[in-house]
Amino acid sequence: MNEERIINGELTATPATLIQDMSELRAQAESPFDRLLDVTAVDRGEAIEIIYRLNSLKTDRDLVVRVTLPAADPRVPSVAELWESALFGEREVQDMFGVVFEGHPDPRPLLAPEEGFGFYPLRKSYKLPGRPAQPGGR
Amino acid sequence: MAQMRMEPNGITASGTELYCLNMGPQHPSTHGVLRVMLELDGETVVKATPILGYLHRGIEKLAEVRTYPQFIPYTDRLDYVSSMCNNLAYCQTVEKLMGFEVPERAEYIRVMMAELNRIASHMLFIGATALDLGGMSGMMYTFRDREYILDLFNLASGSRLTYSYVRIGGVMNDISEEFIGLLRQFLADLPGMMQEYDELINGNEIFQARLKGVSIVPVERLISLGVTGPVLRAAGLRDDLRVKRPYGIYDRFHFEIPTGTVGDNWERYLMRVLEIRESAKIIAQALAGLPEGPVMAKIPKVIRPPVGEVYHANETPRGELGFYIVSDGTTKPYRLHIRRPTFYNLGCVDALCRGVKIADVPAVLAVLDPCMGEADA
Repeated sequence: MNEERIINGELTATPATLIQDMSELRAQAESPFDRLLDVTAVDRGEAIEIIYRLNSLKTDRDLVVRVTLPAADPRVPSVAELWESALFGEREVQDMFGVVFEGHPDPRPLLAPEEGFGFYPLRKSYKLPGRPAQPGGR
Repeated sequence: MAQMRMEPNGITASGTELYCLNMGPQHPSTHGVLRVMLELDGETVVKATPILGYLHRGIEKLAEVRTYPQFIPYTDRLDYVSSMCNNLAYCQTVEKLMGFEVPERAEYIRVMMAELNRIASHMLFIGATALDLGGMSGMMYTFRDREYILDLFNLASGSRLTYSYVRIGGVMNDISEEFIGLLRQFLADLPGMMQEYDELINGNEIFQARLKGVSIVPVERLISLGVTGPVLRAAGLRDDLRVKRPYGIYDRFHFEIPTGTVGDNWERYLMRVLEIRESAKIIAQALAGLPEGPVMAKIPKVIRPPVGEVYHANETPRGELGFYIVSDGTTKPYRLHIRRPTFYNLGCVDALCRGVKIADVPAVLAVLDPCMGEADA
C-alpha cells in the first residue's frame, strides 16, 4: 500500500479499486489491518459515503477507508471475504441506506423485517413522521 | 429480522436428516429478544443463524432530530445494564468534538461510576449464566449484591437503571458524604460477596464441567469477526481500550487485564469474575485520589460543535463501544452512528455454536453476554 495515499489516517478508495486496496491493507507486513471494527455510511445528499474502520492489532494503528457512491444507485463490492465482521456491518448499512454490497454471501435484511422497511430510514430523504394526533388530544 | 420460515432440511453424510429448531425470540435464555435458528444433526448444532432486529428503535435516526444533550437519555437505553458506560462514551465523544476540558473531580467520579457499573453488569452476567445452566439459587445472590450498586446509583442520580448521570462537561451533580460512606462499605463487603460466588457458583463441579472445553474458536477467527471485550480477551489477547488508549484519566490507575489461554466458555465466564476484582481496585484508587472542586465545566448553554467528525470508543463491559458523530455546525448531529459491541459479538454466534450440543447453546449465548437493546439499537 502506498503510504502517500493515506492522509490524516484516511484512505479514499473507489468501488473499482476497493477489493484490491483492502486486500493489500489486510496483508501488508509491518502493520496488517486484521480487524474491520465497523462499517457505516453517511448520506451526503447526492452521494453516500461508506466508511470502513480498520484496526491493526499488532501496531494498534487505525485507518478509515472511505468510498463515495452515487445516491441514485449505490453499489460497492463486499469485503466479507476479507473480514467476517463485514457480514453484519454491511447488512446493517444495506437495510438503513439501501446500499448494495455485491457478492455478499447473505444479503437478507438484518435489522429490517423480512420484506424490508419499504424505505431507507437513515437516508436524509426519509423524514421522521411526527407523533400522530391523539384522540381528543392536546 | 429475516426469514420467518424454516429453511429446507438437508441430509447429512451419515444419512440422517437435518432439521431446524427455532430458539426465541421469547426464550428465557436469550437475554432479551434474540432469535437463533438452529440447524441440527441429532443433538449437534450444524449451523446457527442469529436473527436480530426485534428491538430496533432507530436510535441513530432519532439522534438527528435531537440536540446533543437531548441524546444522552437515549444512550441509557442502548445497553441498559451498563448505562453509565454508555453515557460516558457519548459525552466524551461530544467533548472531543467541542474540545471541552472536564474538571478533575468529575473525571474521578466518572471512573468510579463506570467501574461500579461494570461490576453491576458482570454480577448480572454471573447470575444469568448460572440461571441458564440450571443453577437457580446463584442468581439470587448476585442480584442481591447488584441491588446494592443500583441503590448507590439511585442515591447519586435518582434512578436505578437509566441514569443520564454523566453529562457533557462533567456529571449531573456531586456525590454526597453518604454516598462515599456507602461505597466504602460496598468495597469492604465485595470480597465476601466474591467468596460466596466462588463457593456457590464458580467452584461448582457441574457448573465447571458444563463450561470447560466447550465452543473453542481460534483467535484469528474471532479477530476477523470483529469480536471485542471479554470474549476476545478470553482467547488470550490483551485487548482493552482502558489500557491501550486510556480515555479520561484511566492512565492514572493500576490494574490488571485478565486474559485467558484456551478461549472456551469457562474462560469467557471467568474473565468477568476476574474483571470485577480489577474494577474494585480502580474504584478504591479513584476514591483515595478524589479531589475537591467543581463537577461541571463552564460550557456554553447551547452546544454547537464546529463542522467536522469524530470517533471515540470506550471499553464497556461488553467490548468496544464507539460513537461516530458527523457535525454540520448546527445544534443537532448530522449523522450519529454507534459501533455497538454486542452487535458485532453476535456475529460469532454461528462460529461458537457449530459442533456443540444443543444443551450447550444457552451456555454459549449466556457467556457472550448479549444485550439486545444495544445490538438492535
